Amino acid sequence: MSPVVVRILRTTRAQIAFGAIAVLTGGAVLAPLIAPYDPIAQLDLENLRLAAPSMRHWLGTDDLSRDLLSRIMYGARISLAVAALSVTLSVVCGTAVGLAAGLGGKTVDALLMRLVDTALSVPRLILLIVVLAFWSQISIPLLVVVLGLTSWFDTSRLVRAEVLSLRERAFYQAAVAAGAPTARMVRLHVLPNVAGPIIVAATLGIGQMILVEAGLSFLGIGIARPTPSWGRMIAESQEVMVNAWWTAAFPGCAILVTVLAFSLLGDSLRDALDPRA
Amino acid sequence: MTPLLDVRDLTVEFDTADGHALAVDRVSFHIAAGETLGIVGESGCGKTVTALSILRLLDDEAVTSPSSAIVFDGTDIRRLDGEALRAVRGAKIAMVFQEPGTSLNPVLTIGSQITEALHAHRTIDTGAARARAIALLDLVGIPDAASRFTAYPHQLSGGMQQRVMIAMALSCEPQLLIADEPTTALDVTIQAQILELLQALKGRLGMAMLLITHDLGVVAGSADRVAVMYGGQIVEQAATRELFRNPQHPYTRALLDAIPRLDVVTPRLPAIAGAVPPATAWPAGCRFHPRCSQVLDRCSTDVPPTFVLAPSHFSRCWLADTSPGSRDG
Repeated sequence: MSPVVVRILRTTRAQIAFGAIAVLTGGAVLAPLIAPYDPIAQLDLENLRLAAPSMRHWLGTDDLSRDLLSRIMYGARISLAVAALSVTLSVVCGTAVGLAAGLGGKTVDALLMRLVDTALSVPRLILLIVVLAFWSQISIPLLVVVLGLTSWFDTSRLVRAEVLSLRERAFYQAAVAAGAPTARMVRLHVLPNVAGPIIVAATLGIGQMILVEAGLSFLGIGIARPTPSWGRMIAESQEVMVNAWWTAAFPGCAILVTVLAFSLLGDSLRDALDPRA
Repeated sequence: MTPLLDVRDLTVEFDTADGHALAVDRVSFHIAAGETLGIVGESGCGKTVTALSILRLLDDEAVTSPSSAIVFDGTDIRRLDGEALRAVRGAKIAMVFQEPGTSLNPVLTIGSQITEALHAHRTIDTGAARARAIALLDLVGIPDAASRFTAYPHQLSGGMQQRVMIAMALSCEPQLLIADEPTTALDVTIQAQILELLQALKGRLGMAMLLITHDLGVVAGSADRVAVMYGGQIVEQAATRELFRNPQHPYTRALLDAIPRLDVVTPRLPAIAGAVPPATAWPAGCRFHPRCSQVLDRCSTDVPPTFVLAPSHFSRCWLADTSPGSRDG
């Protein structure tokens, strides 16, 4: 393994985070092979409605007699894929805008950053509700694009700040003095130096994105039914959760564990990638 | 013969929060091919701004006066833009900075940083660039150059880092090397080694050098001519030997007096009273007069012109005025 990975995996915190993410990802990827039931099959509406956790249904069933464990495993596919893809899109956009603002001179910088300020002044969930209201049916690619394009603002500011401080560093000035072309400057001197903070922000962003996606699904404007999604599962359990706690608790736990795992990973990465540490 | 670099009436101004700062005021000097000019002065005297303006590395806030000319090898650098400027930077004029530790990119190996300098200006394939980089590391006296190629900057000592910086600066065989306080961040034994190295390389590659320092000891051993700067102006300029033997400006004399000597017992080194005034508020008349031990009446009112004492010895001081009646006022 490369020295960086070894350094990251030094702490128990990082090992737990990696373990949890491995289990979640594994469960999501292998869901069609290892999930005990079909996630959208209504198994037995008469006898299996809201069945408590048991040997046959480890996490119980919901009010349509669907197996919760299977739904959570399939839900993980959606939640993790949407989060990972939208964070990737958001990081690409944020980095591009941040680089442009940091390197483009005063006017470009002022223009882009005021735009970002404006966007940041609108609460994210409200922005998402407004944007998503344009579509009656929300598909996964659409959700990824919308989530990605509404969440790069913070990243762009982070990248811009890093670029501005880099530009004052002696080695950057030395590279300018050596006549390095702009494209090379970005590739060799800017990107490798801002990569650390970007990776950390992206990792923490995945946890955030899972929460946002769950929130949207909970509000009923996420991915269309009957595709299982953690947020939708909690929303659907609202009326029955007093009698059947497992319908809300287990999807909630899945969200909690995932967000926590990515936060821990983000913190570990921050420590491992910080050259001052 | 036309000089390699001819700087005429260089004036650089900044608008700062404290007001208008005249950082460099009508500075003129020239460097012939293969020659070393030392610029000496205290912090804040404008020597670094002068160096940076040669490669146009100053911030946008800095305004270089339109009457200034920086002619390098027949072209005015102030008129170059974009590509043409980039082609000069690093290839024809290279620069070595004060802090080798921060002048190297911490996340790249030194090998890739040297080859980068080559790729920036030449069409050269990876293998050839690598070979050239190792040859350069060898040239600047880095032992076991081939294995150091993949080292990161933090794995090298300060002296070794500065050697890497010099190797990068030399990669495209520049005609002029600007060394801005190249030894200030290093300890004394390493300083001597780096200066010797610069001297040797200069002779070997036939390049000219602009050596900027606050240390007269550094220029004494390395420079052919010396310009002493104070308050954004060159106050005295002469051949090194002449300057040390026959200093004319009171500031130069005061600087020389402040050097500890082994052959004379001094209970306490003389220091120049006061501090350099801020560039936003130069005193009227001669800028050195509030700190000068030989101040005349006219020094506080009349700006001294540059007096020519010998063909290559200039002093900006009323004491050098030999015209009739000049000592009356």
